[in-house]
Amino acid sequence: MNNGDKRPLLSLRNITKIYPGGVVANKDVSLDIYPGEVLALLGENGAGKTTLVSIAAGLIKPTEGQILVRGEPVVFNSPRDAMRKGIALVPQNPMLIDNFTVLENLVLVSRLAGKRHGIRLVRRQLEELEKKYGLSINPSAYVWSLSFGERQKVEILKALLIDASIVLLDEPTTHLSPIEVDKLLSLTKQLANEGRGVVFITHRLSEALRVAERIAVMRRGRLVAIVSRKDARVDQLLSYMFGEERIKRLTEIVKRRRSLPRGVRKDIVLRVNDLWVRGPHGEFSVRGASLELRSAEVLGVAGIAGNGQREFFEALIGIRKPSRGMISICGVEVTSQGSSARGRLGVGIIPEDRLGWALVPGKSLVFNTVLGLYSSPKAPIRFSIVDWRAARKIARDIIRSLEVKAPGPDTNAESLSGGNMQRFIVGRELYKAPCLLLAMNPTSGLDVEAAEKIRDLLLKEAARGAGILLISEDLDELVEVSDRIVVMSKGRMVYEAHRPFNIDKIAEAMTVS
Amino acid sequence: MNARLRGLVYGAIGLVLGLLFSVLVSMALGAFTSLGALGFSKILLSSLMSKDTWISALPYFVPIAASASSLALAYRAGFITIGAEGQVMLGAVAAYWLLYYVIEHGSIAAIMVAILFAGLVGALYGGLVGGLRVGLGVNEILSSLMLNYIAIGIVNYLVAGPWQQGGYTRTAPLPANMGIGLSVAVLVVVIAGLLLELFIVFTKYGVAIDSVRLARKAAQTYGVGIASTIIIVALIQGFVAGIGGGVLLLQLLRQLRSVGLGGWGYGYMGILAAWLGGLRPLGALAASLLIAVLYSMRSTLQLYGVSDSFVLALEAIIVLSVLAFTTLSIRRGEK
Repeated sequence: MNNGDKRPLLSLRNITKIYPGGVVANKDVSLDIYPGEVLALLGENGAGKTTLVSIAAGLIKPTEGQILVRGEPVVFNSPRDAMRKGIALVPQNPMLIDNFTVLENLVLVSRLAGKRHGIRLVRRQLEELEKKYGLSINPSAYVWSLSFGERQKVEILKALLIDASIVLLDEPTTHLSPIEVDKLLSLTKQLANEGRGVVFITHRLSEALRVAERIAVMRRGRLVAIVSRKDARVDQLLSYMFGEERIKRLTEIVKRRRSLPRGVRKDIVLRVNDLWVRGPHGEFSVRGASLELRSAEVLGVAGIAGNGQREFFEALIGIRKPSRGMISICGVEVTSQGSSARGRLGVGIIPEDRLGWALVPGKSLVFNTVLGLYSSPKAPIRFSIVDWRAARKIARDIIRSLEVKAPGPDTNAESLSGGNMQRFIVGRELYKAPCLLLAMNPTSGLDVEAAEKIRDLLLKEAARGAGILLISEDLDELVEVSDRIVVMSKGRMVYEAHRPFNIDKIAEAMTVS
Repeated sequence: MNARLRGLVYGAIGLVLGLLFSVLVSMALGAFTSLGALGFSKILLSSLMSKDTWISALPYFVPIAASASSLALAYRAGFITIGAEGQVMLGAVAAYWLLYYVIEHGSIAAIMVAILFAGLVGALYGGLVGGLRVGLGVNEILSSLMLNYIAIGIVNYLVAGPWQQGGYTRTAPLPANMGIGLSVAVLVVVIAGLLLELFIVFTKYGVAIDSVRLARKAAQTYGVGIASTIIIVALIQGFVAGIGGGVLLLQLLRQLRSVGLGGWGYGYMGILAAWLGGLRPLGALAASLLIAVLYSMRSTLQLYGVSDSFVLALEAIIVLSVLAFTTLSIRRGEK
C-alpha cells in the first residue's frame, strides 16, 4: 500500500519508556499508523510491543517522546483520554469487570468515551454490531461466566462501540483455537477495510504475514525494521526479530535437545488413582482420573482447555481438595494434604499464570525466591528466621545461570518480561532439585526462543531424574518433549499414547471423546 | 539502596515535607481565629516546639502506638480488623481484674504478669475475629466492630455493677504501688512495635503475610497456610493491642470508668496511624506520636481561645498532608 499520500492516524515519535529499576522497555521508537491498514507489530516477548501500545492507549506514560493523533500532538493522562481520541486497546488479557454483565461493561466504556448513551441505546448498537461483524454474544451474561474467547469478543465490541478509528490488538490470538484465530484475522482485515488503522501485535510470524500490509519488527525495545508484506522474507524477518546470532543459538538448542541423554526410569514419583475433583461451581470437573509417572519421565497431559486440566492441576499441587481418589507423590500419600506437604517433599510447581500465582507482583525476586521455597527443605529459612543474604545469593544464582534479564535480585518481579519471569520461576523450581515437577502451560505466551529454553530446561531436569508432568494446550510442545501423552477429555483420561506418537489419534481423542 | 530501605527513606522524607506543608497551611488558616495569622502561628510553633506538649502527648501515644503497630501487621495480611479499640479496653479490664482482685499486690512480677495477661485477653479477643473470618467467612470489619461494642458494654457493666466503688460508675483506683511510670509504658510499646517490625522483616511469617495480601494464590501454591497466617496475625494483633490497654491502665487511667458508645478512641486513632505509617510497625509508631501530639495540643490551643472544632480541622489537615506527602514520596522512590 502506498501511504505517501495519506496522513497518519496515529504517530509515535521517539518514544522511550524506562521502568522503575532501570528496565528499558522502549528506546526511541517512531511509528506511523495509517487509515485502512493493518500494521503487524512483530517481536519476541519482552521486545517492548505491549509497552508501546499501552503508551498509545494511555495506560502508561512514556518517559520521553510524543504522540500525535491525526498530526495533532496529544498527552494522554489516562486510557479515557486515548478513547476520546478514538484509540481502543484490546488487551492480551481482557480487562473487564467480572461482576458486570456484557452490556453493563459496554455501557461503562461508552460513558468513559464521553458518549452518554443509556442501556437501551447500547443494546441496540450491540445488536447492530453483532449483525455487521458476526460477533454474537449474550448481552445479559456476566463476564465471569464467559470463556476467554468470549471475553476477547467483548473487548473488540468495546472498541467498535466507541467507533475507534485506531484499534490496537495485543497478542489477540494467544488463547484462541485455530478456528477462532481465522475468524479474528478476517475481522481484523474488515476493520481496516472500513478505514480504521489497526495494530496487530504478535510474535507469530505466520499471523503477521497473513493479516498485515506492513510489518514492524521490534527487538529489545527498539524498532529494527518496517517492511511491507510483499517485500517480506521469512528468514529476514526472523533475523530482525532475534538477530543472526540468536537464531544460530536457537538451532543449536533444538539440536542439542535431540542429543540430550535420558535419565533412567525407576521409581513411581506420582500416582493418581480414580481422582474426582469438583470445579468452582460444584460440578465434577475431574471424573475418575488415574495415571502413573516414573522418575526421569516426561508425561504430557493433552486436552482442549476446559476439560478439567486446571482442576486436576490444582488438586495435584494441593490447593483444591479432591472429593474421592488418591494422590501419592514420591511414595507418600498426600491426597488430603495441602501444598506445604508437596513443598516438604520437594515438588516443583510451575503454574499457568506467572504473576499472582507463581510470583507476587510488586515484590522483589529475592522475596519471590523465599516464597517459592517457603515449605521446601532447601528454603533459606532456619527456625522460622529468613536468611535474606542466602536468599539473595540463590536469587542471584538463578538470574545468572538461567540468563534472566533483570538488573539484580532486588528487581520487582512485575517489571520482567513474560519470558524472563518464566525463566526465573523455572530456575527457582529447579533449585529445589525436585523429585517431581508439575507444570501447566509453562510456555504459554512466550516467544519461540524463550519457549525453547523452557522446554530444554524441563528435559534436562528429566534427564537428571525428575518426573515431569506437563499439562499443556500446545500439542506440538507435548509431542516434542513428552515420553508419553495422556489425553484428558471431560475430566477423564481417555487415551494414552507412546512414542512415536500418532498425532491424528491424539487429536481425535481430544476432540471426539 | 534496596527496595525495603528505599521505602523507609522516602517515607521519612514525605513525613517531614508533609509536616512542614501542613504547619504552613495551619499558620495561614490562623488568620481566621481571633489571634490572627501571626499570633496563631506563634502559639502553634511554640506549642509544637514545647517539650511539655511532647511529654503530655506520651500517655496517649502508648495506647495509640500499641493499636497502630499491631494493626499495621494485620493490614499487611489484608486482615482489615478495627478491633484494637475493644482489645485495648479488655486489656485494661484484664489487668485491673488480675491486679486488684486476684494478685492484690504490686510487685514488679505481678505487674509484668498483669501486662502479659492483658495481652493474652487481647489476643483471645483478636483471635475470635480471626476465627470467625477463617471458620465462618465473617467479615472482620463487621465482627470486630461488634466486638468493640461488646467490650464497651463489658466495661460499662463492670463499673456500674460488680466492680463499682462509691457513688459513681467507676471502679476504685489502683493502689499507688500497682502502676508503672510513663517511661516504662512508652518503652513497652516501643519494644512491642520494634519486635513486630523484626517479625515482619526477618521471619518467614513476614513473607507469608505479604503474600497472603498481594497474591493469595501464589501463597497457597507454595505452602503458605492462608487460614493459619490470618489466625496468627489476629492473635498477635490482639496481643499487642491488649498490652497497650494493660499499660494504659497501669500508667494513665489507674481505674475504669463508664464509657460512651465511641469507646476511648485510641484503637480507632490507631487505624489512622497504621495507614499513615505505611503499614510498617515502626512507621506506625512515628505516626502515633504525631497523632498523640496533635491530640494533646488541642487543650493547649483551647487555652488560647482557639475553638475545639478549628483545632480538629487543623489536625485533619496535618494528617491528610502527611498522608499525601508520604504516599507521593514513596511513589517517587519506586519510580
